[in-house]
Amino acid sequence: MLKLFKYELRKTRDIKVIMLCITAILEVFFLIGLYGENERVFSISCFFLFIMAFVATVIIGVHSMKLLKNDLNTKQAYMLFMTPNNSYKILGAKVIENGVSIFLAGAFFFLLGVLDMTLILGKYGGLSDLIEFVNELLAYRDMDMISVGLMASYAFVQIAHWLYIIAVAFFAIVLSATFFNGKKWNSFASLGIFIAIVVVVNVIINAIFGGASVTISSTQNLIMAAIFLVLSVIMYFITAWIMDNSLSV
Amino acid sequence: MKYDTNAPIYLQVVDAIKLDIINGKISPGEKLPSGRDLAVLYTINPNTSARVYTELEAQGICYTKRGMGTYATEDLERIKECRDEMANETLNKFLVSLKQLGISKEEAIDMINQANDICIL
Amino acid sequence: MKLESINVTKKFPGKVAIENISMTLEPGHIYALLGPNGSGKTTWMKTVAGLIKATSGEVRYNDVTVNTDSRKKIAYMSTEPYFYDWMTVGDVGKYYQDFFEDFSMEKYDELLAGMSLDKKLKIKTLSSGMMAKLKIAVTMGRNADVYMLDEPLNGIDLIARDEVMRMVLTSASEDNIMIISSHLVEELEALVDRAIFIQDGHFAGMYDVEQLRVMDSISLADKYRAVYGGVREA
Repeated sequence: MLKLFKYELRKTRDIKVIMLCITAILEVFFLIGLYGENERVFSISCFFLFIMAFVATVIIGVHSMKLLKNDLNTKQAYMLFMTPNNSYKILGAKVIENGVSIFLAGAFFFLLGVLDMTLILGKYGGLSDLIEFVNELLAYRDMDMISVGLMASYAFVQIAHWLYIIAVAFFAIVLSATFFNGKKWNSFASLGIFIAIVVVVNVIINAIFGGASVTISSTQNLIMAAIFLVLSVIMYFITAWIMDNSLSV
Repeated sequence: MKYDTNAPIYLQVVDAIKLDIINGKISPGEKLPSGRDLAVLYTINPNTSARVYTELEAQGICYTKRGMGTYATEDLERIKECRDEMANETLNKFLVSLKQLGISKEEAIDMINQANDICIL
Repeated sequence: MKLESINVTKKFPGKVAIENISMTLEPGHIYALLGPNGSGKTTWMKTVAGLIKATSGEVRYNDVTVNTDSRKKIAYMSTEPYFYDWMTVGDVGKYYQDFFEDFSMEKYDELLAGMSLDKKLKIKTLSSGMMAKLKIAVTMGRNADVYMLDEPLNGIDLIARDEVMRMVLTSASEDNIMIISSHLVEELEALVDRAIFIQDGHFAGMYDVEQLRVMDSISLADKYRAVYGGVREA
């Protein structure tokens, strides 16, 4: 499984390097804007850095769907399925790689955000102002803890939800590769299955919880995140079971 | 090597090896390739190459030293005999062909005498 | 070691690819799997490799239905190239070493050297002849019980063909089964000792090549013509 994981990492390397490069370029512009006191460069690079944090997680997910599609529907399928690994391992390596990458991307952009915020405060607030700001933060510690916790739990729901969406997409891709292989409308079939499942499950969850939101309590967010994670795991097992029993590559 | 379509492949390889022994490409007593190497050399199935040696041994053209491999016979008399056998076969085929063309033995001898010498490298 | 195909049938939506194929294959033989394009040779091989699930019937390897584990000892080489395009010739070897316990890097290196294929070459830059040789080298780098080569001589020049056949012969042994599919019957005639005929997805006979010549004075190619009557080779 570790070896499968290694090759999944290799397959997603290029897209990650590209996104890292784009982020690095934006960061350079951000620094130029900040220290060169060019307000336009500063605000545009800030905006795109912020967007990039979302785009990156989306791209990693979408790329992994495309990768799975290729690994099932092209000759490349032999590379995975001629090895003595069952479908649980083959799919598991993909799911874990994807989960780890998305969490790491999230952590990376969070830390970059913290760093950039610190730089902005350092530049515009001056050293004494920054210390004052930190002191204020500490003074309102209790209040802030709650809101930071809430923010974090909300972010966690979003990530869990995204992982669940990817798991459904994997399921749809496998289903269409298994039963509609070689058909022209293979892609449409997987899209249709995907939308149907996402919509139905969302309706059910919304009926129970009323939807994820920053405003609801962090406990409720965590429960919701847990539900999405459990649903992802269920999706994973159903998908791998179908692959093991019916998939012909 | 290109094989005829009708004769068994192992017999065609047997003939090729016999020819090599008769014309000295393989010297008497020389070690012959292993069954596997023979298969690669002639691009034939390993089971066919095993059969080649069985046949050559049966004809007394080669012999096997246990655990050492297969060797061409040192019996010069047998090699000469073998040459005569193969010459006879060729001659017979030749005569049959000529007969089919309606050429008499005397005419054939004349034709042989007039023919240019063939040079085989 | 034994490989049995018992009433193997595979249906695709709207098409029966193979139907009721039953036969037993034994070690120590090189089998030709013959039949026109589209007759079901590839489908049968992929079923043995566990890449395709039979609709009914089963393939048994050492008395067990083929599964993920049997891929450890059953090697399949497809006609089409299937390596990741970011790989080099060396990466392909590493990949096999990572996933197959029976893979020997030494043997792979030896086979590559014999065909002057450089390990630094990128997959994307290989000609079809080089690709054919690479596929054979990496497959034969394994010490499998069953080797299945799907159309290994397709689209390659005479020299590459000779090299491919030499590699097959150096790996064939008393203990393994080699199955080579082709529609180029004459090319395989001397290489194989048994021939399996597949016609329209059905088993159409298994013959001993030398036996055909000794008993019936007929070559495999002639037998092929007789069986498929009117179906001319490309």
